[in-house]
Amino acid sequence: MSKGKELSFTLNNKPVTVEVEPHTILLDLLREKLGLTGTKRGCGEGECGACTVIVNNEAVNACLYPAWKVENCSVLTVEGLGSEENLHPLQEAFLETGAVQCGFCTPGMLMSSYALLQKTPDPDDDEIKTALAGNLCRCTGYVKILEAVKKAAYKMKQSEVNEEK
Amino acid sequence: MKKRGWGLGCMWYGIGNTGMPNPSGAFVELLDDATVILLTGCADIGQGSNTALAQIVAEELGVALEMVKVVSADTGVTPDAGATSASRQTYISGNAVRKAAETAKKPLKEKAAALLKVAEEQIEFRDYKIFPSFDPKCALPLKNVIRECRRDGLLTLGHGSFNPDTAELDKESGRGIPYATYAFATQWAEVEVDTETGEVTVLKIVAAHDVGKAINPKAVEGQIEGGCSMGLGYALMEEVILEKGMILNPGLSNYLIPTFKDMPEIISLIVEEEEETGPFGAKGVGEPPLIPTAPAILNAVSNALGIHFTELPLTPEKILSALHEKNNKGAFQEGDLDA
Amino acid sequence: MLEAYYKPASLEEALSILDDFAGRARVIAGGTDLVLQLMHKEVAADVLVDISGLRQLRKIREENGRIVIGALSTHTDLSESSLLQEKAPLLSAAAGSVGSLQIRNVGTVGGNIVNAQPAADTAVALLALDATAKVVSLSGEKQVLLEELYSPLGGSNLNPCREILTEISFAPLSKSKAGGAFVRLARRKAVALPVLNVAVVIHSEEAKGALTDARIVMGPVALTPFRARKAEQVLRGSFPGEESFCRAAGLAADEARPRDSRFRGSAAYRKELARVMVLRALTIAQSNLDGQGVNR
Repeated sequence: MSKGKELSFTLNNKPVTVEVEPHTILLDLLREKLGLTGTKRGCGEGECGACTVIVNNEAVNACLYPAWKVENCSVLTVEGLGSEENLHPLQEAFLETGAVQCGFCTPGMLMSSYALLQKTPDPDDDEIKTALAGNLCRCTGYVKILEAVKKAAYKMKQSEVNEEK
Repeated sequence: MKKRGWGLGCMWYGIGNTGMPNPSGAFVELLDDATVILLTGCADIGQGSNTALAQIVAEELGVALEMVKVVSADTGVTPDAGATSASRQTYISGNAVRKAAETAKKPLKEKAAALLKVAEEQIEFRDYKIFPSFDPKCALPLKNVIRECRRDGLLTLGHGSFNPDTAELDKESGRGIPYATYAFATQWAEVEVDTETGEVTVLKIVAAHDVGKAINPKAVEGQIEGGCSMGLGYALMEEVILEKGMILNPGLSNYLIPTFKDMPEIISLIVEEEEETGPFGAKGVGEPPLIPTAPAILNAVSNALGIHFTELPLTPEKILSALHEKNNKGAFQEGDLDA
Repeated sequence: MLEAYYKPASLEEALSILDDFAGRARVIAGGTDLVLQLMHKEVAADVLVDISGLRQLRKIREENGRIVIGALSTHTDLSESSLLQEKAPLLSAAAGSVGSLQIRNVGTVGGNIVNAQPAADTAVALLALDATAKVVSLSGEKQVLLEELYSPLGGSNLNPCREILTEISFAPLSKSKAGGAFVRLARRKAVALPVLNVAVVIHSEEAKGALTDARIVMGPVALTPFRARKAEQVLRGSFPGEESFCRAAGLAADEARPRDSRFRGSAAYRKELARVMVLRALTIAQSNLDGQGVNR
């Protein structure tokens, strides 16, 4: 019975133990308690995807996710994707293609794209659109985001090929 | 049955506030190592004005874009540049930052003209060099000329402002000069209409936009593509539903905007007809892309069905209702059922 | 404000916690609906009992000639299941049309049923498949028809403070003897509640022979997912084809009782839509039955 107050999980590949209330939502835990504000609060009702994070390899809306659900799980947020000095290929591709405008949807777009590419390294347009349909963007018309995800898939494949060499 | 249709939408749109002053100011300083500080009140809300304005300054001063450090939209230090609205910042603040850069380089121009013994009008700045336009080979390194200015106690610092040439509209006739320049665009849409459900699928949009000069073509495309998605939403689904003054759909679960799956391929065609009053010929592109999209889509639906539609959003119900009316089956009416 | 959030390790433990709190504790699975309902105070609970750790309730299998789906299987599980794609493609299609991927990754089939929305895509397809639900409580285990879990006035007959839905099962659509289809129309192409959805399953003993059974379920045209019984009745014993399907579609539209909605459109429009979409679903189901369908 895990009624206790200490919640332990893996956050961006590091173990975390933190005091959490029964009603706390994952988004609030990340932003307010752990100070990871890369994950955005958009609609707060699971419609826009700005709060998308990865829990055990699957994209979820952090705004609808009770914090206690992540107990003993692995959580990845945009902070764990890459760093300013060492961008993830997805982040590079988003920058290079102009897939970022106001940037509010970007962390969620990146995380949904990341989950997609982990599962489907070489997605077609329709697979990308299906995986990202839950991430709303008002700025880009999605055109350059589609391009960015394809470019990132290519980059990731290339770097794998290079590693094998 | 599915029917295809094609439609065009055209527009022209004034850049800047209508018939009223809307000035913008900027400061530019060129430091000893050719770093440039640009202060502008222009708020970059994602459209890329920080980049475009820095590009204009870099171009004017003949330095790389990376050298321009932008401080924007900080009321503590930046001069007023007016609102990021009215598709005005590239045109109006673009002119202001260009003028500020021109002022900042004035002492350099004078100094270089004296050193090279040529007229100031013949001086050009490019690739960190200052040279006479007729003889690029006898160029002076920019940094050296800055140093020469410093020796004389001269700062390379400038302010610039721009206010488009407009005239207030006459209250009686509505005449005047509302805008200094205009953007023009034509969009084409291809749609498929399900004649039994009224559902519309937009298959492709081609968007041709006269932007004067594309300072940053990728950002211009981004504006066009984003505008098309807003226009598509406006055409087919977006509606604030009111009841007794209350908004019934204030959230993203019931005020629907296009998702990834609603957006078709968009082909942006950038038309560059340089505007002589614009910075390097540029005008604005912020709002124009969302203007012709809805007419293009509605015209495409009309083309597919032979019915003219005049109401937005054009929902499946409105389409099916019109089809029934056309086929003498009677339009749908609310409240004709007991339940 | 919640007093406690429990994560029981077994079904027995979950039931006993529910019992301890005597109505103040409530089951949570994926929570994609419940979290919002709690936030908006549409549902009250002092204690949540999160059953998502009960792994045995997350499965999709064929057991003794029936397809058995654990209640904690997510919409993603259902839409990606090769078993369902083969033996109940309408169900994987329906599950794949729910919300966004983020919602489908978390929302469960059990939650979709217990939340009892009249237009829940996955539940509508399950009702067309004539599914049975297994419900456990401290007083034991019972098998009930999925349909019976819906209260005629809307909402679920299952008490989430006392009972847990553990499994759903149904007979697979046997090749060349049964065909199904799921169709929906929404206000946009993804992440939108349906303006109308329709799931149908038809049965026949021989190729092109008379239909032995038919189930037509749609939403949201009533307080619960709606079965078009008159239309079903007309199809039983009829030969499949345009004539019988048109008649059934017309009857289904007559039976449906949609309400005028500022969001979904007028009742008259949705009745017409019901006719069109039932006809379409039947036509697709027939081609699946004939083994010609793409979705079979």
